[in-house]
Amino acid sequence: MTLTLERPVAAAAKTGTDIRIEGLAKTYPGADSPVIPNLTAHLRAGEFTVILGPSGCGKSTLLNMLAGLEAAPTGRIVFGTREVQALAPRDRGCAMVFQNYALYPHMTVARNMDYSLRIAKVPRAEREARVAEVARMLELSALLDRRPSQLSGGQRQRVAIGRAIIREPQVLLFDEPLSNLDARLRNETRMELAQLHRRIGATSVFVTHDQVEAMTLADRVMILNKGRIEQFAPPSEIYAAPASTFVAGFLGSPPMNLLAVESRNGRIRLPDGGTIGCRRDGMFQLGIRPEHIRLGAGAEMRVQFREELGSHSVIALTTPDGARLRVTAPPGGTGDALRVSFPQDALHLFDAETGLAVRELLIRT
Amino acid sequence: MTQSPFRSRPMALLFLSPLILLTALFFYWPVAEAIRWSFFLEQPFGGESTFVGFANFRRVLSDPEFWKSLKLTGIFMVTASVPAVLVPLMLAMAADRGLRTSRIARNVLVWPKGVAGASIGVIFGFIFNPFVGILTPLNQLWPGIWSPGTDGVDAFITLIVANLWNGIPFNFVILLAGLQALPDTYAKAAALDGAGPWRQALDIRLPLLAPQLFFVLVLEFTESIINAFGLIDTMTRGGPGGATTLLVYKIYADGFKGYDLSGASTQTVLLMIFVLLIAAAQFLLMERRVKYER
Ligand SMILES: Nc1ncnc2c1ncn2[C@@H]1O[C@H](COP(=O)(O)OP(=O)(O)O)[C@@H](O)[C@H]1O
Ligand SMILES: [Mg+2]
Repeated sequence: MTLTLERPVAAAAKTGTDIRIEGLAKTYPGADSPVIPNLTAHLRAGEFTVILGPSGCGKSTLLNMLAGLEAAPTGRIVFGTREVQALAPRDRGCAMVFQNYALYPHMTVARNMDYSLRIAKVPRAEREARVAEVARMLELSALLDRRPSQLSGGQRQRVAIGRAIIREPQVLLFDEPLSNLDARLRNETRMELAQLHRRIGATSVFVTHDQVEAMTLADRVMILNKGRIEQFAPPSEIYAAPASTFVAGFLGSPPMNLLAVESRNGRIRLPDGGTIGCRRDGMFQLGIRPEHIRLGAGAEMRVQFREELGSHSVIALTTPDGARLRVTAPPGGTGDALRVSFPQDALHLFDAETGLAVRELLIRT
Repeated sequence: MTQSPFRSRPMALLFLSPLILLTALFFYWPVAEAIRWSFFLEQPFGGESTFVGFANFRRVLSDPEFWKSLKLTGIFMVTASVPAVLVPLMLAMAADRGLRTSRIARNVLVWPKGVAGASIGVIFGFIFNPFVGILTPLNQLWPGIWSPGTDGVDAFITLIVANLWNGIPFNFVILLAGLQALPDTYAKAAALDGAGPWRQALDIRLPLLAPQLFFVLVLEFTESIINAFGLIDTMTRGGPGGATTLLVYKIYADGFKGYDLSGASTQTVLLMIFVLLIAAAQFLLMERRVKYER
């Protein structure tokens, strides 16, 4: 799929609006605890926000509340200058791509895409022009007369995207749109989506539980845990400075090692034999990414097992305290034990009780 | 392919045998007999019967009474079936928006289906009685406006309403089940496309309900023809003046009141052919359109 466009399809969407979410809360009827207790965030105009979190953390609920498919009884949602939380979906100007595509099975590809234009009473000539343009952009021109059942998964996905962008929406919502595709197609579509977003400029909110999608697509990632924002920051920052043990343990493959440590008399003993200064005594979680651990010097640790991934291998070690430590190493190593050391500037520190990052307590020398 | 739950064919046949036996005894055998009798001249009180070829058919087909009752059957089929599908359809669409569960409600609603046509006829005969029924006040305002005993149209209406009442529960349950089986992402997608409740109903839910609609319509068409007997026999007895003598009732009257067994058998065969043609036409015209893959 090549995205060649003489004029941007979404001229109107160039004015993509910002989204303010203020004090949004949601409890499903009959549930004893809220899905979303109290959420406040600001998504900038034209920004691509990825909402990342484990299954069941309330991502779809949040997205549906933005779209108007789920009532938002508490709090405010503001698109630009319009307060929308009480408006019907059709009055909000959102379009959405669903995980299972939700293409109308009894309509052709062309009808699926221009259904919203028909409802909006767009004149026929313009409808046809827009369908043709979107179809060309998404390489669907040859498939316009087919039914969804006659399309492959990737093609259905593109029709679903076409149906969403044809109206030139100010806000584009995606609910795990790639999770039904196979790995190769998912990679391709991911890159195409990134390009597409740059072209149409709508404010996009993309829900996923896949960290690779989040890291590659997002301008900023909102990490959600039980309906609470753990961190809302650009991908590089989320990787370099996770705000909590939840974020640290959720991102990276394999994710960051978290080791229970104690700070006594202003010093923390590290598993590699060294120590590091700490401004407060007490219990902490020490974090270090597998790829930041240095091999060949320091304390010797026993190898539990190795996973060979071709480009590199992941080795699980046992620390002197009996905890598990993962390191990444060049492929094809052997041996029962490895010497490892922790570079000071790769260390993260989290409060043992709250799980929040307390990086500033470390005294690096 | 789904795996058969029965390991052996004989086992499956054993379980099916009571049903097969009943169907053979009370359906296939009488059908075969009717076909045989339609080619013979039967004596009303037994005795010799003589093979007459197509003479019975020639006689029946040249009888204007037969054509009149066939026409009435056709009219009843359409005027009774269409509301018996449309009313449950509207109820189901309304119910689908509100009541997403309530099994008890659905169970209670299907009970009238278990009531025999004759019992319904007795009840509705009473309800529509021009002197003590619910429409009596009409007659007090405009004397003679409601008179199913003497007015053929009024009598026909009572049959249609009784048939409707009988058809609502089953059709409602089938249509509601069909609506509830639709994934709600279609409705969500349509809502985001800007469709209000009415457009969603017309553009999305109704077309996707086509298989169930087709099913109840085919059943209702054939059933209204047969089910009418119990209603007619208890409410109008074919009257007034033959206005409600549908073919099923004429067959009964000719055979058991007029002792014309050959004529009744011949008309039975013709009625079966009629039902067959209607069903075949429905399949030919509509089935291809209602098929879609999810
Ligand atoms: N319509 C609903 N009624 C009741 N509970 C729901 C409903 N939809 C979702 N939930 C519950 O709310 C929680 C969050 O769901 P959801 O937003 O779909 O999570 P995610 O999309 O992050 O996987 C889950 O525990 C789910 O069971
Ligand atoms: Mg979800």
